[in-house]
Formats: sequence, structure tokens, C-alpha cells
Amino acid sequence: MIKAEKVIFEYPVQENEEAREVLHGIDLHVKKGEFVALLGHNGSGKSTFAKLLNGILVPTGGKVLIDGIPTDDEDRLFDVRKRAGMVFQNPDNQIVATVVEEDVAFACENMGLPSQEIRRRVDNALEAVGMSEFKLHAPHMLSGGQKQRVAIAGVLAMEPDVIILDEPTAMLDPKGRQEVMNAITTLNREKGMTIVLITHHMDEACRADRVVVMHGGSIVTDDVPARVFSQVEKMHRLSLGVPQTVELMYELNEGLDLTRLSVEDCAAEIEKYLAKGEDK
Amino acid sequence: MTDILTVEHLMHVYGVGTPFEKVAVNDVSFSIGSGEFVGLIGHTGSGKSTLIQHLNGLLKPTSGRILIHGEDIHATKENTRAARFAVGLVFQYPEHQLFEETVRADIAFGPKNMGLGESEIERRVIESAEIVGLKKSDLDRSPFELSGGQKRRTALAGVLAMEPEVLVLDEPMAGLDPEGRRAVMGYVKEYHKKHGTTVIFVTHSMEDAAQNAQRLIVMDRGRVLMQGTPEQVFERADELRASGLDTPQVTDLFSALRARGIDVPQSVYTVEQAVRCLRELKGGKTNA
Ligand SMILES: Nc1ncnc2c1ncn2[C@@H]1O[C@H](COP(=O)(O)OP(=O)(O)OP(=O)(O)O)[C@@H](O)[C@H]1O
Ligand SMILES: Nc1ncnc2c1ncn2[C@@H]1O[C@H](COP(=O)(O)OP(=O)(O)OP(=O)(O)O)[C@@H](O)[C@H]1O
Ligand SMILES: [Mg+2]
Ligand SMILES: [Mg+2]
Repeated sequence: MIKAEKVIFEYPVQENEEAREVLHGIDLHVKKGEFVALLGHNGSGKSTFAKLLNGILVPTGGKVLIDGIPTDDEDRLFDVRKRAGMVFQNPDNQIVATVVEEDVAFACENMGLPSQEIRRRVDNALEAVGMSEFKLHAPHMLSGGQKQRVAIAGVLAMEPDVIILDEPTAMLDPKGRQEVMNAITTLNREKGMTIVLITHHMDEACRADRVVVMHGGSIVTDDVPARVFSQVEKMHRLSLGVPQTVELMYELNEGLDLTRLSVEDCAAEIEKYLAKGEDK
Repeated sequence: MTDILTVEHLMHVYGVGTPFEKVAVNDVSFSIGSGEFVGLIGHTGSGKSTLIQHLNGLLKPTSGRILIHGEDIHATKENTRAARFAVGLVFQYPEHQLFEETVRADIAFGPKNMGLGESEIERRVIESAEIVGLKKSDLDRSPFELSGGQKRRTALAGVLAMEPEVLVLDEPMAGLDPEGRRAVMGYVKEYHKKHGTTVIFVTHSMEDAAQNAQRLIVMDRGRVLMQGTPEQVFERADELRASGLDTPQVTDLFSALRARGIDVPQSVYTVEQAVRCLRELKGGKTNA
């Protein structure tokens, strides 16, 4: 579904400045229906890479293909955008209309869908993010987390093949995060939607099929969550962290199985540890 | 501990008289002691940002008062101006507070407004940039070319440079990488210790709230739902969940252990406590 091949990117600079390459040859293939979490330190290039995935930026070297369509083919940019929907890091950058439901409908209208279909999709999307009661409100008068939900609804309504979410839960409360994560997981499991989730929350990354870690503009790790998060020291070296379950087992330093990330698995592991040697 | 900041029956209503009239803060009262480190948590839309924008006079109460050192900040023009400098506010979206051409100019903006001399401004810019972990080479870049996390650090540095008595941080760690979260919280704590600064921080991370706050204030639909030490607050897990919040993951893990019939306490809410507790449990058993 997503193919990034030797992708290099430099932001344009003023005449007297030296160009700074921020992505140094990224290779990444994401299959249809996969759920990938993208992690990395601040400034490692995650948002830049995300913007390359739906043609907001085009690579200065290498290629990005969405469903086989090159993102640098201007005539097909619309086809790329229709397939790959993006939720930006700051929802303020994404708000275009003065009423919530119009804002959510915006992309659908651009796609030229019939108005009944738009109505259905907008209602469903607002329902999915728990913002139905705000549909006639002005987006700029919402709280931070409410704005973020509206931005997510806008992309859900497009029903794209791939959703790229750039820190969608950064401003949400725990229940809101849970809801958004459940919505993402459902889209992935039930509708086979391909997901790229950029996040600084390690527990969210645990729910992905695959965790990709960027560092200084390159991909340095690409594996299943259990293997990625059991490497505690390496994660710290990459400016990242691990879920509290793993941190606890690591700090105990008693040889517990660090790949047992979930609360339930970790509890079982600790139970085993406590029982060991008890009957001596 | 004397109170530095008092909120008295604060009400804030948005859009009075319009169809979207909204009571965002509803009869909220509390006091903050000088040098306290307080966490403010609450579901999205519970009124946290609205509340804290009153603390430096940015928003005016619909009714109620804000007192700094016992003085109403809206009593006189001088009081209002003094509140701007006494209470440093870092916004939820740092973009809202960056507008200069370079990172350096942005950090210098507050100190300049305070009428400080060149060399003092320079000292503060360098010191606060260092505190938040910005590189020297970042100082001459445009703030708009920065990544999300770098912008947040710049906004924080700009407020630290004003050396306010009260530091109010609206989700200071949202968008920071885990290392950045640890570092920035560490710096704020260090700064708090060194200058005796009073700190109020808003967060959606129960882990960060548990780990860092001396006291927590929990908002729910415009009101204060509860306040107390992290132990006292996280003990009321069901109420927190009903309000859209949560408990730290280790606390959930300990609930799972209790469900397995293991006798561990309920009041564990940091990894450090959890490790200590499990060691004791294990030690106790092998010694027996
Ligand atoms: N518009 C821009 N012009 C020039 N440089 C930029 C621009 N946007 C980002 N950069 C630089 O590119 C690098 C990568 O930034 P990017 O926003 O992709 O990082 P990120 O991984 O998303 O970080 P964060 O976790 O902080 O959001 C950073 O060094 C940043 O300063
Ligand atoms: N400028 C505004 N005009 C009208 N209503 C507003 C405005 N800003 C916020 N509100 C409303 O006031 C209520 C409280 O918002 P506030 O931003 O204070 O919440 P919050 O606790 O900071 O939420 P979050 O965690 O999402 O940032 C919300 O219902 C919101 O929709
Ligand atoms: Mg980013
Ligand atoms: Mg807020």
C-alpha cells in the first residue's frame, strides 16, 4: 500500500543558507491492512515523512508510492490524497470551516460525493469520535482535545485506504485516547484500513502490528512491539521509553520476560516470579 | 506555607447571550501555597485551559476573583500588569505564542517587555534555552521551521526567561518524546527548587501527574471534582474513570495482581513504589 524507496528530503532554504537534509534515505514498505506505529525523538523527521505520504511534500530524492501511484505525479495528486488521509499534529492547521459539521464534510465535498452520502459519513464520523453534540458549534471555540477529535472525524469521513495520524491523541484525556485508539483499531481490523500512527505514547504503539523507530532522519528499528519494547536500554538511547509494565520488570532485574507487555501478561509474569522458590 | 494564589468563586461563561453560551468554569475556589507543585487534571473540555488563563489575567472572570499575594489582579491596572509578569503561562499549543523571526528573539520577547537590560536579557535567553535542551544553533533559526517538540521547548524557554513567581504550564509535555518529557519535567522541578517557583501544570498523563505533583486538583465539567495528594486522588479510581480519566498503568497492574489473589496494596502509583513493594513481598516470603 505504501512504498517509500530511498527517500531523501531537504526543506527549501534561503539563498545564503546551507541545505539541511532531514531524511536520509528512508526505505519502508507497508502492506495493505497493516497497523504501523512510527516513533522517534523530537525532530527525527516523523511529521516530514508523514507529509511525504500524502503528497503535501514530495521527496527531493527517491520515491514514494501510494497504492502504486507516485506522489510526485502532480496530475494524480488528487488520487493520492483520496487514498491517504492525514490527521495533522496541530488540529488548528486543519480547521477550514466555521461550523464543525462543515469542517468534517470539507474533504468529502472536495471529492464530489452526493450530499446524502456526505451527510451519512459526517454523522458516522462525528459519532465515532463522540462529538455529535458539537456538530453545529464553531471549531475555534472548542477545547484542545475537542478540536483534535473534529480533525480525526474529518479524515474518517473520507474513508481513505490509509490513515496517517500524527500524534492524534496528544491532547486527549485518557478516555478520549482510549476511544480514538479503539476507533483506529476497529478501522484496521474490521475495515482493513492501513494505519500509520505517529505517537510519543509507548502504550499506544504496543497496539500496533509493527513498530518503526526513526532517529535523526533514518529508520533504526522495525519489528513487532514485544521485541522493540523489550530492548529497554536501546529505547532509552533512542530518547524513547517503554510501557510501565516493562519498566517495572526491567527495574526488578530478576530475569522476567520483558516481551510480556500487556498488563495481564505482566501480572502473570510477576505472579510466577513471586511464587518461585516459595515452597523452599 | 503562605498562599501565593487564590481563586475565589471563579465563573467563566463563554458567548453570554448567544445560542452557544457555555459555562466553562463554574464556581471554582482553591488556594495555592507559595512554592507548591500542583497538577491540574480533568477530561477534555473540563475547563482547565479556561481556568488557568485567568491566573495571569489573560481572561477576565465572569464573576469571582483571582488574588495574588492577597490582591485582586483586576482591582487596578498596575495589579493586572504585575500579574502578567508574576504568573508565566505556557499555552497548550505553543504555536500560539511564537511569532518572532528567530528562536532567540522569541525567548527574549518577555524579558524585553519587562524592560530588562541587554546583558540580562542575553543571560536569561542562554540560560533558559539550555534548561529546555535547545541547541545553541537552534537560536538563530525561525521558530516556524522547528518540529512540534522543538516549538514547545521554545515556548517554555520564553516563559522561563521571565523568571515568574508562578509558572503555569498547559500540557507542557504533550508532544515531547519520552526523553524530552523526563528532561523537561526534571528541569522544571530543578528550576522550582532553585528559585522556589510555584508550579501549576496541566496534564492528561496520569503517570506524569502521579510522578510529579505534590497535590492534584481534578476538574470535571467546569467544577473541582476532588483535590488531594496523588495517593488520595488515585485511590478514587472509579470516580476518576467515570470522569474520563484513568489511573497510571502500574496501578492497573497492581489491580490485576490483586485479582490474582496476590496481596499487594492498592495505593501504588509509580514504578518506583511498585519495585519496592514487590521486592519486599518477595524478600518477606523467602525469609519466612
Ligand atoms: N518547515 C520547515 N522548514 C525547515 N525545517 C523544518 C521544517 N519543518 C521541520 N523542519 C526540520 O526538520 C526536522 C524534522 O522535523 P519533523 O517535524 O519532521 O520532526 P518530528 O519527528 O515530527 O518531531 P516532533 O516529534 O517534535 O513532532 C527538524 O530538524 C525540524 O527542525
Ligand atoms: N473561545 C471559546 N469560546 C467558546 N467556548 C469555548 C472557548 N474555549 C473553550 N470553550 C468551551 O469551554 C469548555 C472548556 O474548555 P477548555 O479549553 O477550558 O477545556 P480544557 O479542560 O482545557 O480541555 P482540553 O483538555 O481539551 O484542553 C469546553 O466545553 C469548550 O468547548
Ligand atoms: Mg512531528
Ligand atoms: Mg486545554
